[in-house]
Amino acid sequence: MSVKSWFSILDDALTASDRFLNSEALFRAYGFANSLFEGLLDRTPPGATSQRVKGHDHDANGGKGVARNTVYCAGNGSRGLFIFAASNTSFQFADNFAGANSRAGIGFPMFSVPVSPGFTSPGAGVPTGPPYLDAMVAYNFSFGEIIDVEVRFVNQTLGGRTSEEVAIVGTQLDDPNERSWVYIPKIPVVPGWNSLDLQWRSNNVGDRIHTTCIIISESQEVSGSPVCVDVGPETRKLT
Amino acid sequence: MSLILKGFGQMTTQAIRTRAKAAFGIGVRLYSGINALYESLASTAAPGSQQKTIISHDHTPGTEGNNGIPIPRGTIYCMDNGTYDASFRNWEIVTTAPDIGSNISFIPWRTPNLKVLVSPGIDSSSLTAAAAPVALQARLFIQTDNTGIGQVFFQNTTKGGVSSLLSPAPGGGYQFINDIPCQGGAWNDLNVVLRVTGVGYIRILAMVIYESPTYSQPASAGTVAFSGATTRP
Repeated sequence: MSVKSWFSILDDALTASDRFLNSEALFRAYGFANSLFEGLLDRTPPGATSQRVKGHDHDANGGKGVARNTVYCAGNGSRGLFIFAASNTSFQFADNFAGANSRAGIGFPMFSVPVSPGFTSPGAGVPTGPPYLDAMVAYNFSFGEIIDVEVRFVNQTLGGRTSEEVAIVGTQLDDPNERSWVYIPKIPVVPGWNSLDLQWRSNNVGDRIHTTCIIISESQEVSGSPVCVDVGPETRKLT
Repeated sequence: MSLILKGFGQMTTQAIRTRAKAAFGIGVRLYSGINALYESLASTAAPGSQQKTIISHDHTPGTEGNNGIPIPRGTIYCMDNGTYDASFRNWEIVTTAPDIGSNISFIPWRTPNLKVLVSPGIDSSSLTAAAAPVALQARLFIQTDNTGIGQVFFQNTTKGGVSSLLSPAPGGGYQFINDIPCQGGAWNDLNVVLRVTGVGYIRILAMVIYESPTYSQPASAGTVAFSGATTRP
């Protein structure tokens, strides 16, 4: 007994009209179906004693990349994580107030984030489309004045490509102790380990911003999965 | 409504004979198999069918789930202490001379130090494509004032076994441990331990534990890549 598995060309040359179905066409169809069985289920097809086709794994063995949700999270409750102090009005590292204990200050990225296979962000700066990461960052500051702040991620692995720069603008006269979350989309990435930094910018030199919680994710709904061109099912030819 | 055939019959070449008329059985097997593959892949009823009869694949092994090769699912644990704060010493060990030669957990008052939920099929009883035991990968941000303070390793008390030993790099920074033993489909109890060889301090500022494609995915029983299986056997 012989069970064959391989992906053959299934073209209409084998199914010409007004001819009997021949064994070659069926042989190929059986081989194709057996291959699909092995590739999908990663086990031997009925009647076979060995498996030829590797099971698909949404990676090197076939299958569209899948977003795997949270890739990094951090939070120390009320203690907070990092303190930013604006010494000028440019973007600076979110932990720049730590001096000798600043990760960025001693030459290390703030976060090392693993990214799933297939997730390569298009474009040369802010990603022009999916896939990318997005993040939620909790912060607090007490300015008691007009706020004009921006925040972004920088990917060192990609030579400094940045996420979208998100502005936090408002007048905090009633609630000078601003505590909230900010959503930062379009963090560019490549598969594997990515070195990321969080950066703040304030137009008020001397301001301090405490970063208290960070969640970075591959979200299928927002970031999308790797771009895949779907040509749609081909319609049956009538002629 | 006509009958929608679904099922995996044997598709052996013996059923196909040269210069013989095709038997209906051949077509029945083809239709059934393809409809069943459709349902297994798409998790919806096959075209024209009122109900789904095949349980769809879920990338867990046949003995645990509904088939498909297990896939690593990325980050399963993450912690970050932020900027070091001397008043809030966390994930830090300060050794003295009497400690040399002993093993010290990074959180002595909490056993296990941490718990991680490992995906079904990601188990050290299996081998990776590189023929190494399936394992978890960790990346740690370490600081120390003495690279001779000792070696860091993971201990898995659920699966049993320990990882390799990691010596802190000069100047600290991000370092990998790629062989943490694991038990699939279960909460795994892990301890992070220092094997003390010197005096000083050592801190873990951040740590990610990860199911990685390279170190965590078991090898497929197949021998030919999906996209490469185009050669007629």
